[in-house]
Amino acid sequence: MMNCNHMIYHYAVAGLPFAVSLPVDLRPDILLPSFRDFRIGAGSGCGGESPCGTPVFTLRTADLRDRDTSGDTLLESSSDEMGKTELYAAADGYLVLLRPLPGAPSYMMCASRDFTSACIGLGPVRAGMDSGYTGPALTSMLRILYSQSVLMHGAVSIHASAVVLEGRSYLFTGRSGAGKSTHSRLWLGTFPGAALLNDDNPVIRIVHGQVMAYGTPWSGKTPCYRNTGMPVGGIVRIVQARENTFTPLCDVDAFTSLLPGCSLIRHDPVLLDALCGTLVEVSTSVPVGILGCKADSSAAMCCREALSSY
Amino acid sequence: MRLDTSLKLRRIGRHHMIVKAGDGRMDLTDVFTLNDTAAWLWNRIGADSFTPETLAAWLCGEYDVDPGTALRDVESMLEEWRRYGLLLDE
Repeated sequence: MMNCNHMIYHYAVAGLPFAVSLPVDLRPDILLPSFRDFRIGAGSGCGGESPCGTPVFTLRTADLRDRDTSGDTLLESSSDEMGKTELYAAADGYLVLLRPLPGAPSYMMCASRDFTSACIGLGPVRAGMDSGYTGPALTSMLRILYSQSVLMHGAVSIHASAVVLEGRSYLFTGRSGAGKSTHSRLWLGTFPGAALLNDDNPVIRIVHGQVMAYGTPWSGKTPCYRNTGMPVGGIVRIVQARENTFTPLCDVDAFTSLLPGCSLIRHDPVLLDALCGTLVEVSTSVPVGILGCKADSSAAMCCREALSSY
Repeated sequence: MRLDTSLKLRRIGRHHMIVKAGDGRMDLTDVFTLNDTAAWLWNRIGADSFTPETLAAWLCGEYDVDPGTALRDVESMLEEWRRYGLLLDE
């Protein structure tokens, strides 16, 4: 008889479903508050059917305390407010190690090569004993897993701030500190009816030939977790400048402008191939440009006017 | 010599490009653009082994160009392809 001490919870982001299996004593809406609006149906016990088709990935919890990274190859290492994230190539797929600040527990996730299945070690964490790091760590791991698994489904997770206005979405990309969020705020303050879609990590997906942008449970430091999507009206790289100038980009130039902001394990040729296919379609279907801009409302007006003249 | 057939020539709008993952360097991806003639050669070569002379002969059959000029153009193009890791040596 199956020992059913886990519950399976279903979610969909950008219309792409995934499943998270958690010990019964962990409450998903408390552990993953930013995912609440993306829940589908109630949790189900072992063997429960997905309420909306095949999940793009399934994440389970497992005891990984005996797993170490010796013998694995370090591919990438990055640091942000969540601490340090390391990605290793392992014999059977990938291994992600999240090391939050000193003194905090570290978290490990083992993912299959195509990121359709993964397990995460939550260590001794149980309800009422959560160190405060488990939810954020799980949120980060789900972002990594989601961003890679959806590449095979015509979608891409992009580092951008995004707004919606009059039925269209507009994405602002750029280096850290370039003013992506600031530019979104300028749209909100300049154009009545403009609203924030996501402030850090929206998803672009091609649906029936149309390029769409969606809100996600990952929005950086801004709690904006909207389960909605809009056709893309433009994608603009933000660069600080003394004067406002908009430069339209097309074809290869548009492609190379979008590529750096896309979430991808670049060593994987299959995922890179899928990403390139999606980006070629995006680059040739929606307005893409670079905005050299000041940090005042004239920049928002310059940007919108340039995009509407496409 | 042969092309690195793990690389895919893509059409984007009116242009042709090859996207190549960086060799162990973090977060770097190279994007190469090819003109129409280079893209035509790339597609015609496919997975086969070739020499500069073969390509020059193809060019002479397709365009109004003398063999010496065709070979020089092909060699400089292949030198570039080799420098950027698009070729496999045998």
